[in-house]
Amino acid sequence: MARRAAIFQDIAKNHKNVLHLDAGNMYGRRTDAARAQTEFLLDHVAKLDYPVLAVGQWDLNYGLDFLKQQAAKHNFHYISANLKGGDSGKLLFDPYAVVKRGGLRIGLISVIGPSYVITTMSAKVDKFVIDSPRDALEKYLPELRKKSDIIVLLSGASTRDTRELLTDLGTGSGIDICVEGADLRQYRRLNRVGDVYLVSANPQGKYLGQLDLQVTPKGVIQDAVLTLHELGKQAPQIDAIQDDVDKFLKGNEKLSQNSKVTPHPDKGLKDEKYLGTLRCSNCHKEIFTKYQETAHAKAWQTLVAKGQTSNPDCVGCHVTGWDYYNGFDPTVSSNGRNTLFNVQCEACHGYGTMHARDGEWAAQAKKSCTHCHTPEFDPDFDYDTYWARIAH
Amino acid sequence: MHRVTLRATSLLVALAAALGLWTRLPASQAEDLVDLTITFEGAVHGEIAPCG
Repeated sequence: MARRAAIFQDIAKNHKNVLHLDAGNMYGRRTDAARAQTEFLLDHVAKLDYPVLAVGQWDLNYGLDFLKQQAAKHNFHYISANLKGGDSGKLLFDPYAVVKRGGLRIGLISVIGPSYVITTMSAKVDKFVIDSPRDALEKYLPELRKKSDIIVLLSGASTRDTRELLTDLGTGSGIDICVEGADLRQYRRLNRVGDVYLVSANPQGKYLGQLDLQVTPKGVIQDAVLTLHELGKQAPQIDAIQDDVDKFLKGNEKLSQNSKVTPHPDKGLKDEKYLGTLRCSNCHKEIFTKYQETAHAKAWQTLVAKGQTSNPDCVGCHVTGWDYYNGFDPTVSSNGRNTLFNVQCEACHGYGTMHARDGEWAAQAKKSCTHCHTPEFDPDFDYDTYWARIAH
Repeated sequence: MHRVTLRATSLLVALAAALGLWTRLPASQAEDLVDLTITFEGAVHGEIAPCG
């Protein structure tokens, strides 16, 4: 967040007509800790000048009342053209909005994918209906076109549904740009579906997209340049905001501990066991000594420092055997499963009870790096460079 | 003779200036283009900082 704000500041210095958009699903998971974090996030988002926010299915995780309270508190303008109340059968938000930048009227319209089921923390109270996005767009686009020079669709549908939707609507639909906001999808190049520019900078706040356009006064895009800003450690940041984030995370850690994440094992083998690094060290003393100096051996501590030990999106790559049968589980004290913190030997080599002695043991491990060092989470990953840091 | 040459030269200069103006027209249209910068994101999922 501190990095996003810094990039916004930088963009503002060099560009005069800037529009910040969020395509939805800004809210966190359905836990008390995530809700507190979402409130904190929104407090800061309110300072960053988003004129309109799309409603995604995640944004209803804490119920409609919570979202409306946040909208009232921060003066957020949420839009959705196809989300209706289950009881009233009426749209819950404005279907679209028009904002002005540089004399251009920019129409913004948002839809949620039809395949999603909205479940809230107050599920017994809230009921929702998601209308066909195509029907909603065919209904509202003609009137929005009359009020706009450019139209941006904020799509809360999956990548597949979004592409199908744009294809079905065909060229001349009136949509100029589509921003995806549902799947953890990222396009590194500018895509076209028919006459629509399709962009996506997800996932999970780790990137920020920037589209620099040259547009005629009548709204014809003459040139479009895409930039993706990685919000990693190298990115500039506003220290005051980062201090605020660190302070919040420390304070929220207690709440996070109370809502511990639990794995959902569906990988590996039910009869095999993780033995833990100390067992490995009985025979591999030298390797164990080297291991203790690596980042893998301190992986859990980095989450503790960041107050992210209850974030399921983080935990999996900072422990051993996450979502594997008999793997890490902070709620289970027997069998040593709550001692599988950090990226231990078996995170790469597999169950200790399956320890092979034919060389395959090491070969298999080589394939495991990219389970966590994915292009999205670690774009700089290079096997040889990273291997040098843990060579054993 | 000199006057004729001068007049012909003046005509050519005027013609060139007119042509120059004409060829610059698209450039003046280019100045009408509006620069617009859109930043975008989605699926933030409540994240406020990288995992660690």
